[in-house]
Amino acid sequence: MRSFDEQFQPIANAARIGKLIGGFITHTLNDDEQEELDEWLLKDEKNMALFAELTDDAKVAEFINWLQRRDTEAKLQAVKSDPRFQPKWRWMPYAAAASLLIAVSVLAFYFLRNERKTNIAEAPAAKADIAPGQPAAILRMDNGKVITLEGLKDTVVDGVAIAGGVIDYANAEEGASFHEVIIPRKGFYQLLLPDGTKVYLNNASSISYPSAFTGATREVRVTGESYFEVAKDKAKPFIVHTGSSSVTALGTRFAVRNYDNEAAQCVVLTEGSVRVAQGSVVRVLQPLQQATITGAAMQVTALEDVYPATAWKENVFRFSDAPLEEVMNVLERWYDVEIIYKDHPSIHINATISRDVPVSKLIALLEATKEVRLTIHGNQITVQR
Amino acid sequence: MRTTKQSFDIANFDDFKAGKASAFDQLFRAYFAPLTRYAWTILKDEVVAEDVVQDCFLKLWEKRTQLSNIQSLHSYLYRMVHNSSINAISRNKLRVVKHEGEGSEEPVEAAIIESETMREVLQVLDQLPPRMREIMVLHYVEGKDLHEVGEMTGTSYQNARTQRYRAIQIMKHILSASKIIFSFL
Repeated sequence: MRSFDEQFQPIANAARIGKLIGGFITHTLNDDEQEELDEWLLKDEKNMALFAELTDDAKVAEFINWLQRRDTEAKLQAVKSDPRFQPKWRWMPYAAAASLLIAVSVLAFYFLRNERKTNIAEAPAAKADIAPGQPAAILRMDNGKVITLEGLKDTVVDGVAIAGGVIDYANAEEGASFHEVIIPRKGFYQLLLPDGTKVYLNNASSISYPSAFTGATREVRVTGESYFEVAKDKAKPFIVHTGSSSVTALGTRFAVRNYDNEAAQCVVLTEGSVRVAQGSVVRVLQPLQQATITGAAMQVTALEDVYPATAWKENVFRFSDAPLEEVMNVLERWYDVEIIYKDHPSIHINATISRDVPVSKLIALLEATKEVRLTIHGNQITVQR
Repeated sequence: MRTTKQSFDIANFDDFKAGKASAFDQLFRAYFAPLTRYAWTILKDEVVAEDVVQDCFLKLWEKRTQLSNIQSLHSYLYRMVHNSSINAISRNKLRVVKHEGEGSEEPVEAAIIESETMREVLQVLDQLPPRMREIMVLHYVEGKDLHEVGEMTGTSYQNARTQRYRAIQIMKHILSASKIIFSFL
């Protein structure tokens, strides 16, 4: 006869992991639980694979579907009408057995705790680390004034109110001047344009626009990575210029990406429709389509999911079959580091991870592929096979 | 789907041992679907899986006074469902699709993890107000976009969007994640 522990402890452990993964999906984990889950994930690649499977969108949908198909109430009534379901008061003979079981469970709890402690002790000590980015933006006005927006006390500059770090054009004075909002590396920011259009800006990006859209069109210019939720105004098309191309919208949502050190510019449409123009090439995008502009050429492709192009605005890294170089480019901007390649491992990454973590967390996860080694020295990260 | 909150705590456990039907109801509501999922991973037959789980609940009820604490109740249920499922394979002459742990005496770890993940989702889902749950289900399970959801539930698109947004706030996002999902190609 096996002991209580041998029979039930593995089940209890597995159940605990299931609870943590469920908590991850429903976002109900506290920091300690998250830590516990991370430890389990890093213990074994199989764990990672199971976790990825269970937290996949399709799987969660399947769970909900499964739960919908169960007629739990009917089954409950069926069970309760079974002759075996007769409340009986016969617990005295079992009192001794019950107290033994309690004693054993207390022991199990004790051992479980000890095991956890050991795992923590064995975890690698934190070496050099780099903190993640945070909201940061600079406003440059065409009269030369430069204002740091994040952490700024509420104020009024040249007739424009700035409250809680947000520029409020609602009561801006007539007469347009040009404004430029610049996001450094390690920064991100969102702002409302004078027409109510919401713009998210990722690290190492910028936008320039007039403080009032007085003409027949609303035109802005961006660099880097941005996401627009354009306020509806059919009479005044909204035009985003980037590089040598432009995106024209009436009221819709889309992401634009155009970094100097990346060969292609991308426009991804999430809602509505937009017209993308590059020289004489003009294409109209439908939702879930991406326009990729390389030099003078434009290619339109269908996407399964827009999340990889928009996750950053929710402060999440989302890599979908992304080459390692692309991942490192993203880290370079978010952690303001320099990437040095000793090797170019040809791996592709699928991942979703909060951006609000120190770089060591990403390094640990990338290294879990066992295909790459990453070393931090100051603000340099060296990539090796 | 039910509207009662699906959770089971120490107070319920004492009531359960004392033979209170209300405690049984709560345990059943919380575990029936996830345990059926576990049985199904072995049996690959939803009807037989449901029968097995119902039978296990009756056995557990008969043995309730021998149970020590919630943790053992948990483990006890899984072991019972596992053993009953293995027995049901031969009894029902089911042809079982080969999978890891088939016919094993030991409960399948990955399947327990999956079932418990589902149980946690169920708990949160059941705490949503009915209207929001309806919108979540239409959107995620039936793949309806928010315009269609609006039409089906007789709300405006904007309203469906707001409801979905609030549901997501409550579930703090059922899907897109904040910490880690990692898989490698």
